[in-house]
Amino acid sequence: MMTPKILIFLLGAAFCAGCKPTPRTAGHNDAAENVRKEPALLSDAREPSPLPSPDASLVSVKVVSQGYNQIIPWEKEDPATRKLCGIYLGDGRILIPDADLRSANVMEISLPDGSRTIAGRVVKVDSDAGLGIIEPLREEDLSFFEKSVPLALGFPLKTGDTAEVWDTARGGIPLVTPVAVESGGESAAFLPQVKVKVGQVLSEGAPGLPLVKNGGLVGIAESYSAEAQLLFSPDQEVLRRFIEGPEEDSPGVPVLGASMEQLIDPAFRAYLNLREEDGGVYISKVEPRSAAEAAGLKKGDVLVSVDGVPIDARGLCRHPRLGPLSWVALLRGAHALGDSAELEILRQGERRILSVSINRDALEKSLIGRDKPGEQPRYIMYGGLLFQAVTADYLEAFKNRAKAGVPYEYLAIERNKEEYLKEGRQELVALALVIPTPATLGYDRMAACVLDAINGQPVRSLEEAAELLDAPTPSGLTVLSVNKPPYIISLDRELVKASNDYLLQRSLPTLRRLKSAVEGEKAGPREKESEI
Amino acid sequence: MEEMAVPVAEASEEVQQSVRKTSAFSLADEYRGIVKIEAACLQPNFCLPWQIGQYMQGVGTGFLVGKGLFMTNAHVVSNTERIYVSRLGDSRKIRAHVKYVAHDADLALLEVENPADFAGVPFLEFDDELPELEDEVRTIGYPIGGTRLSVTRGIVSRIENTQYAHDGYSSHLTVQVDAAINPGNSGGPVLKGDKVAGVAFQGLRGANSTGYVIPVSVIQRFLKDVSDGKYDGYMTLGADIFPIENPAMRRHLKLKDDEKGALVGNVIPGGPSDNVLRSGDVLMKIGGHEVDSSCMVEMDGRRVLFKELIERRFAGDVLQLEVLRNGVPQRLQVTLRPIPCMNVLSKSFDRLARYVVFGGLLFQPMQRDVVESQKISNETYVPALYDFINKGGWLQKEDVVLVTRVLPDVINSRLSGYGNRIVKKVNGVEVRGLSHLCELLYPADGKRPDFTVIEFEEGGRPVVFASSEIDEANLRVSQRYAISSKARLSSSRPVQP
Repeated sequence: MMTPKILIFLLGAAFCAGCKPTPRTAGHNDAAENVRKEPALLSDAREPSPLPSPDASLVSVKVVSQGYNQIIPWEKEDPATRKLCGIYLGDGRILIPDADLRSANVMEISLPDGSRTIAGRVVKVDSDAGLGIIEPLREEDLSFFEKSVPLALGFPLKTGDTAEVWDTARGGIPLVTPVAVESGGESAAFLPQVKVKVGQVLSEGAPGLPLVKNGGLVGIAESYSAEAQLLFSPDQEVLRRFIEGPEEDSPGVPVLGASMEQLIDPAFRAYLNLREEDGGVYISKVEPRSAAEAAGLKKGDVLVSVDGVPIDARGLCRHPRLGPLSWVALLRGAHALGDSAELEILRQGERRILSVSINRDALEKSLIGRDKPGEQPRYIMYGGLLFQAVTADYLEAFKNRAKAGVPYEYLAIERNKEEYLKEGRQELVALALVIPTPATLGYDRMAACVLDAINGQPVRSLEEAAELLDAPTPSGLTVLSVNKPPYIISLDRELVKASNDYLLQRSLPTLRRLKSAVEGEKAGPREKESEI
Repeated sequence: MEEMAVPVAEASEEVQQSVRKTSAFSLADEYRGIVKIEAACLQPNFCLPWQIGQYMQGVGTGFLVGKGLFMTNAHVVSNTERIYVSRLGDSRKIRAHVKYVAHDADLALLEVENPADFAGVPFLEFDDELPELEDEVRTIGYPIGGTRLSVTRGIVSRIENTQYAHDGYSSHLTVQVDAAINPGNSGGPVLKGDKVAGVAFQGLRGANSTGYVIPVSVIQRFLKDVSDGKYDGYMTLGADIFPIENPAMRRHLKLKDDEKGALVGNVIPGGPSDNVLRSGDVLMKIGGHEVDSSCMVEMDGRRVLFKELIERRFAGDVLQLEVLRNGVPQRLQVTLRPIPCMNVLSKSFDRLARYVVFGGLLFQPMQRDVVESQKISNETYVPALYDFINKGGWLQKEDVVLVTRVLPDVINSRLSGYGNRIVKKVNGVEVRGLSHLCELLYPADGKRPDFTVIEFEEGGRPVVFASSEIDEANLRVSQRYAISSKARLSSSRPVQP
């Protein structure tokens, strides 16, 4: 019964896919759009166009990326090389997993048989979803895709579905492996994910292999475990949202700003007067300035449903296709930024519905920010004292390298957050390093503390700190207040200038990095600077 | 009584030979007062604190300094259940007890039951002054490598403040020598000529010919401290003082360009300097001695850290201070006294491990031994320690109480996400210490609310136990884990027979 429809569907796909790549237009994957509309009538006698296939629709991509060193922020870490599979979407565009693309130095796209290699550049990235779209660096290299056949989006998978993993072996030999969707799950960013059982070992197993069903793209391998025989892919809805979304980097997943704990402890449930059949999770923390706070969520509330979908005691909901899924993944899968959702809570025995905005306020209005992918950390070098904006990236890098453990001055940041926000601070500035210079004599042990004031004026951001440092003082001294005893640092401004000059000669490229700018390839009118 | 103890047959040859040497103080005489100490110790188990602990044996050296009184190291006689001393060439073991012990100076005085056992044995006398570099010294004791008395010789290599390994916290003056000092030498005398220049006590791993000796200055302070029948310990100002090295700092503090003065950082609330010194004060003089900007003073013709000055003082002493406060000179005084909260920073000895068990949760007070044995993370204990000491939490609380372990049982099998394990409240009441916690969890009148609710610092969810199930659960846990008592609230050891 299904066969005639499928045939027409496939013919329709082939018809469109067989077209030569059109001159580049901004945005959408035209081929995909056509697939989803009603199939066109075959009025002309045309040759049947090639169907997408592993050797025609896949490419190899090599990315060499090099991120910034958070601890020495004018330097970069060692470069990392990654080999990925890329999926041709049409119009010269390739879908790959995000491999720190915004820190990429080199990107090379090769045909599966290795016969040709061209340079690539990034179109857009969603680092939370782990996806990126790239294209040839040079317009003239579009001919690279002469023989390529785009793989258009198919339909979302559900538990129990079968599908295929496509790959190519050396020389471009197509490999098709049958797989089955075992269950749903959550990615690292708590987006919905499918877990796919792979019956036979994938010989290459590189990230980026497509999941294909009925000739349509339904997933992309994020990771693969040969031992567990499991391949993980974002849910197709996540792929679709990225591919069809605007031509700019995704700002990231929504963050409501609530922490929760499971309610599987029967004593705890009895104490909260919950019925056995209720389910629900315990809200243990609500971040200040977050969407959860604005919606009226409070610590101690029991969250029982989201958008009318009940949440069980482990925090899982029933997703129509993917089965049990964390309610956060359900929310992030279903809503885009700017939407709103309904949270049903129990508070002191009363049921209430709260309307919550789907935004990232919890992160964006937080005292501790995050760098954009590929962005250089912001810093000020002042005579040997290195000031840095305290970001989550910096704190994580510091913790990983701190042999003696994180000092109290940094541990205190978490507990003093509310206080800092009340003081009007937008972000924290740390005295991160002390480089021995004539100006910093005696202050070597003062590294790793929070800068509170400069010459008596409170410091509320790194940019404000720069202004305060530049403002002249009658004493010829710069006096800093920090949260580490003896709480004062005093510097001779002339010695600071001389030390700065010396450091610049000593391979410090620049004394300050203040505004954030995306380090991307500078080319093409299509390239947009990210909003700051 | 003048007679010597009868020497054991095999020792008589050596004794005969040494007696043949003629000098004013024959070596044999000198050595008679140097004894081998055999100590049987019982180390408490801070991981499983209801258990008896671990038995260990150790050997050290001690020497006669008074009637039936022997000096040795604290670490030789800590946590001891039984101490025997035996004399040179004599196999008899004589029972001894610890009379005074200073864990912050690694010194102890032992007393034998019957001083008559050592009648006629000469006391060893202490030198009046510190030795000089390159002075020749002899170390005498019972180190590894044999069972009889051993003598090694060397010179004084260095005199400096070093950490004393015993309590893992204190540091005082030490004399470094290159005479071989090995395990077993601990507590033995180091002689310069015929006087004791110090007590051998520790070595340095990875170094050659580096032995450390507790100098007479530290020993004299110990002896003076215990002369009133009680050891009070070392005093501190209870304030952090920092050197002023940067000329720009001097200008900011409006100091003269004369390299004098040190900067006051933290002042411990409730400590001797509380309400006297303030953060930002510049310390100019302590006890009449000028303080220079590297925190040193001149004492006995030498430059030493000002801490040395305070090291020589005792509880109750009044110290005169001169500071500059916002450029204005002030005369202040502090009365030195111990700061009990600082004890959590050093290892404890001769004490039992305190604990409470409830619902399979093991509660222990935050102190160094517990933090180390139970591997409590930096992130957990550093802020708690800061609050307790630097922010004066110790004035309101007896202990910071932690859940260090969960002994699995049906009643606690679903616990997770309760925070960083520092106990904040029980049934809404702020917990002031381990004993207070025990009262709250095990009310004297046996009446509990329907649920026992335990809240922790740093958020997370409260831990809740249903009172209808808890008594049964506690009984089950105590039987299965062989825990004889639900709590030990006092750390005092029972009196030994």
